[in-house]
Order: sequence, then C-alpha cells, then structure tokens
Amino acid sequence: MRKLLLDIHLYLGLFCAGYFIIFGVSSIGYNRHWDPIAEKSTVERTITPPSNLDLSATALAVRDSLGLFGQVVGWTLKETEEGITFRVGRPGRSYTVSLNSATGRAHIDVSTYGLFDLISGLHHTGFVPGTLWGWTWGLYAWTAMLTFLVAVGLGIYFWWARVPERRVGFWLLGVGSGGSLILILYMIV
Amino acid sequence: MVYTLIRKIHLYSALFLGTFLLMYAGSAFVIFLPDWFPDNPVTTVVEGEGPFAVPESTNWGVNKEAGGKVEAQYRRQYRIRGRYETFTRHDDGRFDLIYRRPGAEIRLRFFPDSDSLNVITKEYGFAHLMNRLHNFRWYEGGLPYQIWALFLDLAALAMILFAISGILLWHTLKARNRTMGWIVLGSGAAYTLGSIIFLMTAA
Repeated sequence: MRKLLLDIHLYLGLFCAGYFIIFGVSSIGYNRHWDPIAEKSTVERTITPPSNLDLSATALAVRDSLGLFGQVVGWTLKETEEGITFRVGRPGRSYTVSLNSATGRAHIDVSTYGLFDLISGLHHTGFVPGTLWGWTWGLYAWTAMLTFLVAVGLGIYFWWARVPERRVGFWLLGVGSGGSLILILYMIV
Repeated sequence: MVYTLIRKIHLYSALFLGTFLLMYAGSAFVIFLPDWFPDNPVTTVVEGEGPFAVPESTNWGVNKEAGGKVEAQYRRQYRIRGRYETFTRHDDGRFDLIYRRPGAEIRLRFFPDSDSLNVITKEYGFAHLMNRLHNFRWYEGGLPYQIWALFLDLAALAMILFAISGILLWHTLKARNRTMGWIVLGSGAAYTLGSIIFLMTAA
C-alpha cells in the first residue's frame, strides 16, 4: 500500500513538475514591481461584420473572424462611434481590436511580450474557451492543483510514518506553518 | 547520503511552508470557480471628528510617496488595519487615502472644502478574501507585510525546489527501472515547453 501511495506521489509530481516551476518562477516575479515589456505592431484586416448580436457576442464573433485566440477582456469592451473596441488577451500576447462596423475594417494593435511575461501569464490562465490548447491547459492546471493537494496529504502521511523525523517535523510545522497561520489570521481579522 | 539530504530538504520545506502553500492552492480553486463563491461586500461609513489637520493638501500630489508622508498619523488616529496603498484625488476636490488588507478596503475620504472626513470601510466576502490572500504581495508597508512577502518568495522557491528535488528523488528511488518515470516526466515537460513555444509563435 505504501509503495502504491509513494508511486502516486512520485508520478503525479513528475507529470506536474513543469507547472510547479512555472508557478514558482512567476510568483517570484509577481512579488516585485515588474512592468511587462511589449513589442508593438499593427495589423489591418477586413471582415464581414456580424449583425444582430449583443455587444459581447459581437466581440466573440469578431475575434473568431480575425483568427485571434484568447479571452475577450470584459471591461475593455466598448461601443464607439464607428463600431466596437475590445481587447483579447492570452499569455504572451494581447490584441486591441477596433472595428468599423460599416466597412468591416478592423485595426488591431498587437502587443507581444517576452518569455518571462508569457510564463507569468500562464500562472493565472485556466481554461481558454474556443481553442484546443486552452482546453488542455485548463485541464493541466486543474490536474496540477489537485496533484499539489494530494502530494501534501501523502507527504504528511510519509512523514508521520517516519518516527525519528516526527520531532523535527513538528518543530518546523509549528514554527513555519503555525507562524504563517497566525500571520494570515493577523492580516484578515 | 545525498539522497537523504535531498529528501529531508523536500520534506522539511513542505512542513515549514505547509500553511502558506495550502492557502495558495485553496485560494486558486476559489479564483478559478467564481460562480461557486458569490460575493456581497458590505460598506460602512463613519464620520470623523474634526478639525482635521489636512497638511498642505494641494501639495500632496497624486503619488504614493506624497500620500505616504502624512498617512501614518491618520492610520493611528483612526486605528486603520491595513496597508497604505495609494492616494486618489477626485475632480471635485475630495481625496482618498486607500488602505487594503485581504478581505477589506478602507478609504479615508477628505473633504477639504468642509474640513470633514469619512472613514469608508468595505468588507468583502469569502471569495474576495481568498482572492486577496492569493494576490497580496510586495515588500511594502510594515513588518507583517515584509514577512508576508518573504513567505511568498519562500513558497515560490519551494515550488521550484519540490519539482527539482522530486525529480532527483525519483531518479535515485527508481534506479532499476525508470521507464515509467521518463514517460510521465517527459510528457509533462514536453507539454509545458510545447505550450510556451506554441504561445510564442502562434499568430
């Protein structure tokens, strides 16, 4: 039984190792004032403007017609005198789209970010609707979170089974985890 | 010998940072499932007792440093629990000192024309509390906030450490047959690297 649990701990951890490294690296960046560095470019395209849709559905249809993938950022979605403007974002890139509804002419400002910003973007990306990659990444992110919880639970079980290490473990648990629990309570109460 | 050392580092860092790591994992679930945790913030307004020594309000500017020079006296006077984060000036002359802590935002709103002040406290529910715990960061504010940021960095380093030490432990533990491990590690790593390359190159 113990061997089976150790294999689960081991292989789930191995499968999610890449995600954990992304998480760690991006968290160190988040803890500092890091300004994303973007390379800007502009693209002009003409599409057949969608009709008889509400604002949100129009943005999704325009995004798909332009062949962009990513999430439409809700608060950027606005009606303009010419038509509609909104931003589409995904890790590593964002697009600000301005569509002239009469002519179907779309002006797209593209911001391309570097590797570190892309990794940071992956940190808070779950399911991205409308793409196969977005679906698989959401699945991977959920798997990694569940793996983490399972790994912690099994880790405690393995530690408890090693009697000589209980004393040191209790000290670390008390000082570190107990101390941080007090800190969390101090912050919120 | 090396195996034992790596195993102990792997285990002890997890025990030391356990609460913080679980907080991040738990709050991530709440953030990913916003519909499951509706939030109804409650706002309370308390009128401050004047007169207020509004120190050279027109010279405060609109940046954090300028507000920070005078905010401490008000934080003590009104017993505000939270980190001073920013300063906002409204078009009609009002200005706010904004404090935040996970689960709450406190605004000290000054009305220079009438020499009055309101303490506006917005208390959020569970979802926002978890979201703010997850996103609370930076080495700014007093000692508790500095310790928080230190724990965040340690937790981040631990995530990298768990991955690397886990691979090393597997490599030693499964010295006789590593086929399964290579398949699992390789597929996860290939997917992660493939995702990064795909996102860098996709139009």
